[in-house]
Amino acid sequence: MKTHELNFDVRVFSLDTVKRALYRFSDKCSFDIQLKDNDITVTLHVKTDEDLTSKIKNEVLDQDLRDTLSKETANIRTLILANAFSNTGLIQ
Amino acid sequence: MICLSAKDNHSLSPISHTQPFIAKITDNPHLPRALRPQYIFLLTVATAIPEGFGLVLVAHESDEGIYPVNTVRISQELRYLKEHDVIKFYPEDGKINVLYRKEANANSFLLTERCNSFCIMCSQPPRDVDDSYLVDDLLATIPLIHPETHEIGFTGGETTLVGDQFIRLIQSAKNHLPRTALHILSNGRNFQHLDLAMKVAKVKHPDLMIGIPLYADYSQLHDFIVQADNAFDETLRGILNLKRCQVKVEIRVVIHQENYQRLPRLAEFIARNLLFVDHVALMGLEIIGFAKSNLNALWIDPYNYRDELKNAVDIMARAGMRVSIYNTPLCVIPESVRNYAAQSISDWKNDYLDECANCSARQQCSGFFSWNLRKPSQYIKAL
Amino acid sequence: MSLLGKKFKGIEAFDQAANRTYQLLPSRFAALDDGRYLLSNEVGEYLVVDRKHLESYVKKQVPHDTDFYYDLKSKHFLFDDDSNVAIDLLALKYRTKAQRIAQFTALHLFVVSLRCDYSCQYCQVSRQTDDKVAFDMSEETADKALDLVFRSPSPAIKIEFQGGEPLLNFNLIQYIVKEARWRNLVHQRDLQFVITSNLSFLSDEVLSFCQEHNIQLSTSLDGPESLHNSNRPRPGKNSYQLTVDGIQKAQNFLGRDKIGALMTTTERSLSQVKAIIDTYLENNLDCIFLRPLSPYGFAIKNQQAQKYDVDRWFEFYKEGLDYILEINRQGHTFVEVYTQLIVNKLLSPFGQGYVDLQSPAGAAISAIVYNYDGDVYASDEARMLAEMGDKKFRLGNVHTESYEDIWLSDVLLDTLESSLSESLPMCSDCGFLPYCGTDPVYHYATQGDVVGNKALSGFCSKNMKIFKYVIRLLESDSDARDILLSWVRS
Repeated sequence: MKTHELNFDVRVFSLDTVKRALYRFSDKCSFDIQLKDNDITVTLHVKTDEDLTSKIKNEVLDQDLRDTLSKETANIRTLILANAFSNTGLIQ
Repeated sequence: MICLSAKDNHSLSPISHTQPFIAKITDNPHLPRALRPQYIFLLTVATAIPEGFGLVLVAHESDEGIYPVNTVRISQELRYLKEHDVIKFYPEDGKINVLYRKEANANSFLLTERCNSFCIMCSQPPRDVDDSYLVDDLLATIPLIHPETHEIGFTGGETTLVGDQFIRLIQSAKNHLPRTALHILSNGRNFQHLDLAMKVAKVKHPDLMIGIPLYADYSQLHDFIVQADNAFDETLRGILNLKRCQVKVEIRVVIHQENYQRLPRLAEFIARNLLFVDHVALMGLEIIGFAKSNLNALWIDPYNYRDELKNAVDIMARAGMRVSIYNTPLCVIPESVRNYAAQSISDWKNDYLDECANCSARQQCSGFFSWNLRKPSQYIKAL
Repeated sequence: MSLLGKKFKGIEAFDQAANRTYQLLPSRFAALDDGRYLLSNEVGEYLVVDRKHLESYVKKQVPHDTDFYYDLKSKHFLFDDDSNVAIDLLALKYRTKAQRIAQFTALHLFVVSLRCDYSCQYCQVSRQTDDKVAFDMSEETADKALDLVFRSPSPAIKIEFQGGEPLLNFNLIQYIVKEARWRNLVHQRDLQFVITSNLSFLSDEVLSFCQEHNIQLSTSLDGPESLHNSNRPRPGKNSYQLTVDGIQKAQNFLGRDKIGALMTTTERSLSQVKAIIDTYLENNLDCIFLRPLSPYGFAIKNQQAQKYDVDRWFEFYKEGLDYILEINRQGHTFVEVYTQLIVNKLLSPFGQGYVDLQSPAGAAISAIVYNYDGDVYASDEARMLAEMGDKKFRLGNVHTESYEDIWLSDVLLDTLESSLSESLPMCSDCGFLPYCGTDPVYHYATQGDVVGNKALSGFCSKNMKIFKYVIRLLESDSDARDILLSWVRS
């Protein structure tokens, strides 16, 4: 069991983004997360010797993109679905 | 190539018609007298000419001396005319236009030369003229067409620009030719208005298909090719509306230098977004009209887009769509998709090269447009 | 410089979006391999992109007038000021994808008997007994079940006979087939029948009946003789011989397309995939389904063991698929059924098609199980779970509950709703979502709730590995791509 520490600036990556990224590694490690001022501190307890820090950092970047995507497309998604379920009279 | 119009017809007797005369040809000299004024009698051998026909066409060179009124010796170029064919005779200059031939592999009728697009490869460049006489002529012709005719077509210009007459023509075709398929070409843009699509559907023509071109998988390129802003959106909305009203739709793609590279992407677009259309035709370029004047921008040897063509066919066929390749000789089509090629060129403008005489596949091959013979692919060879 | 005549304008004149940023359309992405990602839209159209391109897409920095920009536009990942028909098209496509849900329950499994002559190590349900009364379905139960079958609005209905060994209650099969066809004169569905059987009791009478009513047969063939016999013991120790004899008999009598075989993977299978495939080839079978290790056993394995199993099984699958692709390269068409399913899902505009890999889950709304005693289960796995002591997904009994009681039961609706992949952590923003599914029974059995933590899930791990592998084959191996695409049914 190894312990690593990672830091993220909450002005760059939201807390949600960091949590979502960490969730994907819950089979390989457990986490303590603390927020103080603008600093998110993540303490990783990794079950194996694997160094996951770079993978986790990359995942945080990916989750950040996902966050942007989902926020920017939320409204139009609703519009598409509403349109889909209104009566268009055309079924393939 | 077959000539569909000729002026060098000589009247052999006084002509009583003052207006153009549209009528059906018969070779039956015993037709009841009451019917004769509505018919045109065709004489191919030197026998006596019966009296009372609306027009007599002499298709031989012998001289009889005395002819009944309204007798005309037709030009050599029109000697193919037969019983059941329909022609328009202009008394002022003796011109004859052939409107319908029973033995033609396709009979297409021009509704108007006006158009709301300006396609860079248009084979029938638009003219902004009052050509409503075309619709009037067609309304007069439809009842004369032989009822066993397999299929007729309406073309333009943009066919929907003839307004209410568009519906009237479809109705007339249904009334007089209930067993004849009707294929109408349109850019589809006016069908963005649902009520037009509904009016067409309401006629309940038994076998109607609207052929609509789509040249690209994104708006900028399609709009450029048809030289009209918003055309892509309007056309797609038109297609959707027609299918909502259960009218059959065919997508037509003319392939040239500007769009061949994206052909597979267009096939993917059609297979995902327009899966419900009834047919897709991938078409070789017809080098006439704007296609001829813009040839430098448009020409690509079909052999050089054979990979894109095969790819596009495979994508749509795999999705279960009906696909055909038109206007492309078999020898430049990749072997695995040759069975999608169809005999697509109207006989009057269809020709072959000398090389084709020895080709084992000549009978199945579409050959060339007559006006493409000057610029065929460099890879034509007998199979 | 334009080569067109003076009357014609260049493409710039028709681009109303030239100097404006584009808008994003709903999409998701998933890592594929080193540096590459799968980007998928709301209806499952996809592009494989590297991270640089992915980032520029999301940050709205893709340069206008590039092939990548137009690919994104044409596949509805973005829209711009030059066109607004994308919304209409996406709505239509979404509707098409969702439409099959409305067709509702198409697969109805009838467990006509629990009795069986075999004692397979991985079977949870069968009983080695002659007590017909205790473990056979009765005509009364079958009648009630058929009432429920025809309440389904699905235009196609498939009735599958399961067990134990269904042919041990052949009389009831005959009854159900005839009764269903009689009722179908009114309902006019596309009605099909399948019998899953070990073929021990495949008499001429059974074969004639199958031929008369166009019934398909499905059997288990686990591999070469020693493997098959050790997995599937029976008195006489001759299960392999009986099975292949039965397959041949059925192929000759009914036709090769009327009998198929499935394999169940056990520990012993993992090192023998080529031999297993060879067995299928030797027996004139045209396809194989390389099924994963089942988590349902007499003891549910813990999570670590789950994922380890998936890793080992995946090596088995890859080796098998590689071998199968080689067979195809040599000119013989032989299909791996699960891969075919995945390729279909990647390319098809239609949703569903496989009850175990869909969202909302296939439980009850796509397939349902009528047990010998009339108990109704949301899926075969739900029935297995009940055999192990947990009846959570028992929805009622044909004798006491109505159609509405069963299909509108709280346990079913809650399960379906709370396991919808669009709402789940990790699933909701996963690039594979349009092709994947949700398996509430599996996650309940292995993790204790219908959602589960996908980072710990063998279901997720297995599916992601397969998606990535198949997509990489489609993208990078043109031979494999051609073969896989030839397996696509339209």
